[in-house]
Amino acid sequence: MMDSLLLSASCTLFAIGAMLDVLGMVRRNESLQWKGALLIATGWLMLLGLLLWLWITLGRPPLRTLGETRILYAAWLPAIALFARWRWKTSLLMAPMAAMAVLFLLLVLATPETRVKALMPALQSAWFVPHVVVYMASYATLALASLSALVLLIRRWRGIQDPAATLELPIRLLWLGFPLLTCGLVIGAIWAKSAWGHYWTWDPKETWAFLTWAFYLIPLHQRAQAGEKTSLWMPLLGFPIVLLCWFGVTYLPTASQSIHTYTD
Amino acid sequence: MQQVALDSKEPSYTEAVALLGGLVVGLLCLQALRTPSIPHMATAPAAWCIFAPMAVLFTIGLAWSKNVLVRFLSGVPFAIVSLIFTTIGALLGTLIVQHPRAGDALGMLQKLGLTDVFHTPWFAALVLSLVVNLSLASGRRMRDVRFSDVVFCTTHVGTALVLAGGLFGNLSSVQGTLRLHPGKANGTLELDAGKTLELPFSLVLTSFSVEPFPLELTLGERMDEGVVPRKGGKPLPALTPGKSLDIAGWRVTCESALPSAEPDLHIMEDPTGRIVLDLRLKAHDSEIQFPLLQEFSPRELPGDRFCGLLEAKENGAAAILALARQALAQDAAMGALFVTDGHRMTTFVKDEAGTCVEKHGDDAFLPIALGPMILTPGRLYRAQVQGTWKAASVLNPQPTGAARVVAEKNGQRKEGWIASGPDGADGLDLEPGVTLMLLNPQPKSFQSDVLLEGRKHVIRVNAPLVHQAWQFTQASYEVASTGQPISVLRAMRDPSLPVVWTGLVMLLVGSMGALWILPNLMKREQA
Repeated sequence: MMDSLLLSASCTLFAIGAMLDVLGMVRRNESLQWKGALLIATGWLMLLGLLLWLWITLGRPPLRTLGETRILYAAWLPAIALFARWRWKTSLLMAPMAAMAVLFLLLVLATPETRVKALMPALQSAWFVPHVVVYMASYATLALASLSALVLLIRRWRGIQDPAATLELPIRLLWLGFPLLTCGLVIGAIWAKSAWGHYWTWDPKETWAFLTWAFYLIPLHQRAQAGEKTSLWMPLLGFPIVLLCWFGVTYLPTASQSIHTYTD
Repeated sequence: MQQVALDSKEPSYTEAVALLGGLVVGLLCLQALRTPSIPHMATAPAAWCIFAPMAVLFTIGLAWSKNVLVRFLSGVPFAIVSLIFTTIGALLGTLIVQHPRAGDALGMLQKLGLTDVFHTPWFAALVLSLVVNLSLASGRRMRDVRFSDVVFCTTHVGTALVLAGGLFGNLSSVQGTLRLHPGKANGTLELDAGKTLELPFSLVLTSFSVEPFPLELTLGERMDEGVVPRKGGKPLPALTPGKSLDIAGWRVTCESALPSAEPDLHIMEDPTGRIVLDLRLKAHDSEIQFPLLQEFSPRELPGDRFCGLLEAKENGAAAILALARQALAQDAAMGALFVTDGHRMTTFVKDEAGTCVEKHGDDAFLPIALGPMILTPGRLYRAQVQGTWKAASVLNPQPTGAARVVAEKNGQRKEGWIASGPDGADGLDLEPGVTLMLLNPQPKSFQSDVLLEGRKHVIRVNAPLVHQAWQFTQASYEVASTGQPISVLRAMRDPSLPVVWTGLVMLLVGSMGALWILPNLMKREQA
């Protein structure tokens, strides 16, 4: 099956790329790190190919089910990590990013879904693709903020003193991810107005989207106070909230009242 | 000296917690003692009610920026405490079932408003505290006009507008459901609280159409609960008559594909003057067919016989039962017949020897629970009726799909009908563990063609109709017992919408502008 093949190939390339990156960091060999990045980039291109293949065979954007959004999320992770590497000259993210991407892709492989072409009328909207794509980009960015915070906290615990610029990496990613989160929220409100008649109904999913957005306001405001440095714990704690918003809502007592349900 | 000391006092988290906590507790106690009702402000001018107070707060923030109260209410501690309290309230709204059914034992939770969190005075007070904070903070910030201050104001005023607009919308908006029957005018809105509202105009549904998706074939496995689709793999091409596919080594040809079926049962008089029943099913631009019956699929009935469903009022039930026995005995092509008076179901099934077997059941919803039925296209059921009775349609509102397929492999040939439906699918077993089945059909689109004040409009999902500040959205549809579709529209009027949209645009623009703030802040810190 084409989808399993591409998923497995991407997982393998991410895993090998991550190992080369770690090896390069330990041996201070930049050439190894670049090779690792190249393999990760190749895996990323395969994921893009998979998304394109799904779009063509299903005849609709592959963004409807939980599995499909996981693939998109796993495709955004290396893109943001490679951008961070280029922009802020840091290779801190590559290995943890690859590990997270592999985890999500393995989840997709372990829980195959029925490939249904039909797209319900409410999802047949020009807002569907931007809403999901922007949201997954924001989730990936915020996830990388959490991962970088985790890595830095582990390094601190091990007694490694990182320079100030490196310690700013989580907040830089938050500052990038938050406008994307806001954008996704606004697009969702505009779409809800035309599809359901009201831009906001305090649906459990919408409420959790608000909770996620409100949570990230705290570290951003902390940092915006000139001279204050943000605790690394705040970006770290944000990701579980993102996960709750993404698919934890399904398990809440009010889940049956939500119209934002993923269907297989 | 004392004045300077007061002005230089930093806002504290403790004071913010005390103030907001006291406010929430006070309102909760009020809620528990007696449910306060917030007056509905349907006719209040939204823009004035929102912009004017916000402008006043903005000006206060600008003019009295050093005032201790202004600094407290516009400060980060007050904002964060207010935000935390609001998020806790919102969190409770996702953990406790909102609007529970009457009779659910939720006593104290209901008294405290926790079963309708987002419409309680205490939640509204928390949102209002955020609006006050954001408006004052924006005013204070505009003392110096730098890029970062402009971005700050854009995001914060935008957020305040959205919150204030949402709050005002809660108090002033009207929303409800409008059900339209074909050919009939309706201007009565069914409000959420069980009341009704007469609109100043009415809509007439001239036609309602549902377009189904093409049938989707898939492989499944027969389990205890029925046929279950397999997961993963490439989706199969759409099923179209005459087309062949290679599936799991089998060459599968589709003879006829019927994406949906609409039952049509009515009385007619035959040329001899007898009253007869004409039972047909119309498929979407295709030939006649019936949906599939879960328990009596063609593989259980010998050959492709057909079935019928009759609904009769109690006073006619005896006549109908006699009719059924007679029809089954006389009509060789008749395989099964179901008669219901809405409370009991009597089923007649004919075996290969032509013996009729009767089964009785007590299930008022049996016609729906039975699911769809399959009949040979083009067959007509005729019977003689004695006594008075009333015809009714087949009670199965969901779209159903069916297809006749032929599968061949290594000299083996299997053929039959496969179908889908709301109560499970029926498939064609090719070999152990391999069953051909249809995925549940879904409506691709449905739309209402309406007449409003002499003008034609089309209302579709994602394409609402806006008229006199009312927005009509195509929410769903139902099928009446007569088989006619009922278009279900959601109607909404919210005078605060322009304020909310303005706020959202400002929030979006400001958020993008904020991307430049952190790098500039870091550069200044390094300098």
